[in-house]
Amino acid sequence: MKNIWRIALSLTVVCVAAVFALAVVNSVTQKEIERRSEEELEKALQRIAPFAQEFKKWETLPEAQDSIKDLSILEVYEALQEGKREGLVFRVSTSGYGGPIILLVGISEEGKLTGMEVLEHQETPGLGSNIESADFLNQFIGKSLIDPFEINRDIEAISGATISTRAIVRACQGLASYWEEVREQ
Amino acid sequence: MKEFWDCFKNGIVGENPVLRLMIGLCSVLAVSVRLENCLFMGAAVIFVLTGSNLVISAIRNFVPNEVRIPIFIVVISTFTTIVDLVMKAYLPALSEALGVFIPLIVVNCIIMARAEAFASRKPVILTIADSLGMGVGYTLVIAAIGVVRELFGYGQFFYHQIFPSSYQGMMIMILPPGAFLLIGIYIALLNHFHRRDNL
Amino acid sequence: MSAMDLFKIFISAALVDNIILARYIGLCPYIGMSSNVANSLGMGMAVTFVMVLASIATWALWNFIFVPLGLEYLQIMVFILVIAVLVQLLEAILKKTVPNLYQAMGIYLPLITTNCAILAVTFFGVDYNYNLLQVVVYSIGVALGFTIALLLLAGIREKLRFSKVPQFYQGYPIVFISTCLLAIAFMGFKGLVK
Repeated sequence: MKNIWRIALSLTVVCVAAVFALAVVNSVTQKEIERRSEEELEKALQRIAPFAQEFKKWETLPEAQDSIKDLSILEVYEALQEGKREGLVFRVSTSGYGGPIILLVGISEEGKLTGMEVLEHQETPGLGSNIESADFLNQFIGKSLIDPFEINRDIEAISGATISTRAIVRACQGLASYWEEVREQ
Repeated sequence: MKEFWDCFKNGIVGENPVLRLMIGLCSVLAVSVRLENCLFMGAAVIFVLTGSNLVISAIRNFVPNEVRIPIFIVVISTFTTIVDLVMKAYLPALSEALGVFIPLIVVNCIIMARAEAFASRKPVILTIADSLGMGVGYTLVIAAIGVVRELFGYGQFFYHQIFPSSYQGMMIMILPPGAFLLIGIYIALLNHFHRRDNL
Repeated sequence: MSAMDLFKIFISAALVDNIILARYIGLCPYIGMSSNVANSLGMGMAVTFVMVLASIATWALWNFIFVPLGLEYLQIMVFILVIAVLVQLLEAILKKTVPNLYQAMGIYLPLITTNCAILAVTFFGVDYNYNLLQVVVYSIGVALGFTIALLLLAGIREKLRFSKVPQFYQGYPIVFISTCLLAIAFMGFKGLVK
């Protein structure tokens, strides 16, 4: 019987010590993690829409019509310059070769792409993963949404990764029609 | 002092956890695409291994035998969580690259095996030597694989271009099959030299 | 949630993202338990059983207790303890109620506590924000993929016994080379699910 008490006591002491240690570490790191992720987002938005000083997140997202295939709009930010809206930044998810691709795309009021960044992807390393490269993404910047976005016409595909390229191009086309719907709001 | 040194060396050469005992393989193969990832993974493993075994060795006389395994698990998972949280907070890019393999240190067989076989029986000083040895042995293997995979897969060394930029990169080295191939070759080489020494 | 989506989750868990051959998780039992087909089948069954139960248990704990209370930082410790307790319980229950099944997979159960595949699946289940049904389908898919990989390697190893392998490639090296070829074959599944 004495033994049982010893077992229970030792287990309790170890568990309490462990939880206490973790709570201390967590209270320090938690704040740091939150601060960093906010900072990261702010920086990414700044790169996508360099002209803006301030970003405002839309609380509700307008429902997209079914013309947008394989594209889900995750977040929309208004890029404000001196309080005036100068563009929109969209966080969208499209399906690539290895899984979802999360993109951050900036569109100015005139309908020009001001920037694009790949936030997350699971494409094949060495092939599809080149969608992250500046060489590829820079082709899109400055393009107008009325451009055709056709592979090998105005967009050069990544060799060996047609599906990944197509996913990005399709996202742009889908975003063009979504932008058309929501620009007035 | 000699005893300390012997315990340290044992983990690197005699009972190298990865190549000899075939444990802790998952993270070795998964994160070794970049040398930098390998070194941080090694550091994380050394921290958890040394920290938890130190605690386990220090409390070994108070822990009832019946509940020693649950207590080991609690201690090891505490240290793993600390590494995970600290990496997430201060090295977010690396934490992203190493992904689930940092939390998975908790089930890394090296740590449990050393806790059971060594730390719960031996004094603190020797435990430190053993843990450091095992950790360094693990890190050396993972770095040896990482250096080859990064060099041939990307043509780079610590992100610096080594091969001419026209080098296309061996895809297989970055993908899972290359990792399996390399570790197979390494163990074969080790067998080869080991056998020759014994002749 | 349509049946098609569940099917996609299942296929990508079992084949495309095969936990061993594409994600490098669960290698210890893969190497250790694949020397013959019977062993690997027993291990596969035991893993399937525990993986599904563990995913359900951790999913419920996570969504109903840990997230509401803001205790996410205890995830690693609690999940591994849940798996350990579950394995102990299962062992005791099986021994009493279904002795035949216990005979078949009993010896594999203790090994499962430190099986990283189980823990990884519980992490992924909450990471991907799956609902309960999706978690169940996902964990069955992963377990099936695990068993397939184990059985394939066991089959190869049984044949290898009759082949001439260069002396210093005998043992583990040739197992890894075979795994390399299996992994290349499994890469063919990439792009299967869109």
